[in-house]
Amino acid sequence: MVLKRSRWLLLVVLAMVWILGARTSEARHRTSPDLFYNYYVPPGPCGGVGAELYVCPRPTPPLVGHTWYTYQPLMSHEYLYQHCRHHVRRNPGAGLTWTKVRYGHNPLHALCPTWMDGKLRSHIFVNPFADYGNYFRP
Amino acid sequence: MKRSLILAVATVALIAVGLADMAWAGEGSLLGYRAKFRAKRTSWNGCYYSAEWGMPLALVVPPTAERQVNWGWGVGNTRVTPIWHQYRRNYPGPCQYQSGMYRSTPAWPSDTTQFGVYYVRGPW
Repeated sequence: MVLKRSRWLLLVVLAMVWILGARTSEARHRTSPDLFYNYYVPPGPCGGVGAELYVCPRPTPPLVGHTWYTYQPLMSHEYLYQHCRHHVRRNPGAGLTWTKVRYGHNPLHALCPTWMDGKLRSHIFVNPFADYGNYFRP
Repeated sequence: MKRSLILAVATVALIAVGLADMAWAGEGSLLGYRAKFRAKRTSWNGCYYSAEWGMPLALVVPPTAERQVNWGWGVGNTRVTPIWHQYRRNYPGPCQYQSGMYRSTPAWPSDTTQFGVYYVRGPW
């Protein structure tokens, strides 16, 4: 009886873990089709000035002008903490591009600190059974 | 013996996966919603402008950063407070403000919030 109850308890705990993990992993794996976007902090309830993330860091001298990140995985806010991100892009007629980026710290890189810590892997997945039209054959 | 083993496995799984994901202000967590709720009702700056920038300056910290330390003169004026505000995708619209809304750093600052630099967590 006790063993049966503890099995149920284990099932409940594992279900909770699965639900929590699914909620957070859903947020980590996202599609980012737009390129030149920004992040904002709205002003307070009584008005005032807001804040935007890029150009970053600030303050920059006027000589710097404006900068653009042309590749989302290299945006500097991604390097702030250890995480993993998937970028999925559906290209009409050309399959699916799946890019997995891991932001972390490799202890071996401490020997050579000029290396970039982020690892980037990009794959193009093509479903051979999908109908991509006449102009593409894998 | 078997029961304690099962309970130990379940506890370790919960701690390793569940509670790690339920970080203080983790995305989608209850406390993350609380931070979002509080951020809507408070301003991200303390009404002082940064001398170099001319306006209040948001200092980006990792989104996993939970709290900040504010130093101040006097007993009990050094405190640890949560960082409620976080960068988000939605454009809030044009802001309306005047330069007189913000004060300069006093000649003898008595609190670190008077320097015009405020922590804001980076986006997830």
